[in-house]
Amino acid sequence: MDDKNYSTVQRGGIKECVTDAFPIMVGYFSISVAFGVLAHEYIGWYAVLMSALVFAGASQFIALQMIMQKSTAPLIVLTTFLVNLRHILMSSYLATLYRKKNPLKMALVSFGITDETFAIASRKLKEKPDANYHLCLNFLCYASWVSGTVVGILFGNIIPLSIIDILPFALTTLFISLLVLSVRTKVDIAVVVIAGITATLLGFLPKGWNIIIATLLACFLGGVLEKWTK
Amino acid sequence: MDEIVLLILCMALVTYIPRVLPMLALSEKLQSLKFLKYIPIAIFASLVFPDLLLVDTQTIAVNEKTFAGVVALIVAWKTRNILITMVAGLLALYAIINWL
Repeated sequence: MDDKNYSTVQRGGIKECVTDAFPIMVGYFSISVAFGVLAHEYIGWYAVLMSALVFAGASQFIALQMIMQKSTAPLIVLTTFLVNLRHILMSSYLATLYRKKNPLKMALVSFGITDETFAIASRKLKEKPDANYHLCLNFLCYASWVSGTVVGILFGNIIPLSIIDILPFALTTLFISLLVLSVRTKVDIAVVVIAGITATLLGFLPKGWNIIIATLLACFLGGVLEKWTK
Repeated sequence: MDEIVLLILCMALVTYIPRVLPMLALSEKLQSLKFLKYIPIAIFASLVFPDLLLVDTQTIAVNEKTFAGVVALIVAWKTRNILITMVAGLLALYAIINWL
């Protein structure tokens, strides 16, 4: 098949990925500044190492909290695993979009799968699977996540807490706009309502599990509804 | 090795495995499984709703974020622009918390 699509970034490609990555970069930068500020006191510059190697926001905040509370390392690792297990669903979905896979590129792309990069990539790649676009998108978000942590550690004391507190909400608003942009059919609306309510009702479960269960249930019921309404 | 470095390496490993295994193991043939296409919006919804409605892990209540979320929803609907929506949502939350 045409290797071209997979091995070259078209001229418009980079501009497109920068444009698409920008909202996430803003959100990531501000949130990882918050992470750096909070982490500074407890793990210092190791916070940057964590951002660079783990690159998963929610789990990093949770790990930090557990470190503050002096949890044991195995428990922190287990919690991290459970919180990030939801990426299985995203990775599975993305795997179905690529027709031809270069294992090395796919291994790199996979490292950058997060709720947010997945949100943008899944919309874009559905129409045109392009591993280079995907890599570029993930890398830009990664770079802003890591550099935000550095800035947080360096300049943390200047930023008022009232601002640090509300920054994580940036990502929620990002998802709200993506929902509005993605929902088209009545079944879509049903899936959103089922997933949202289930995840809320299951909020007492360990973090991450409510998302996995709600997503599986809503997808399954979505498939059933789709058959019925045909 | 420092204990914290070992901890971070283990965290990195258990985070990377669920990200990479399906990508390498599954193929596009799964596309025929129709319900997979609902994964993105189902994930978005299950991230958004709890953040807007839960005040702690099991108490559902209308709170500051609920209102800010509604503002973001309306702005997203009208503008269909991600950045404007993010700014509007954050400003709304800041205003509600600090000025009301």
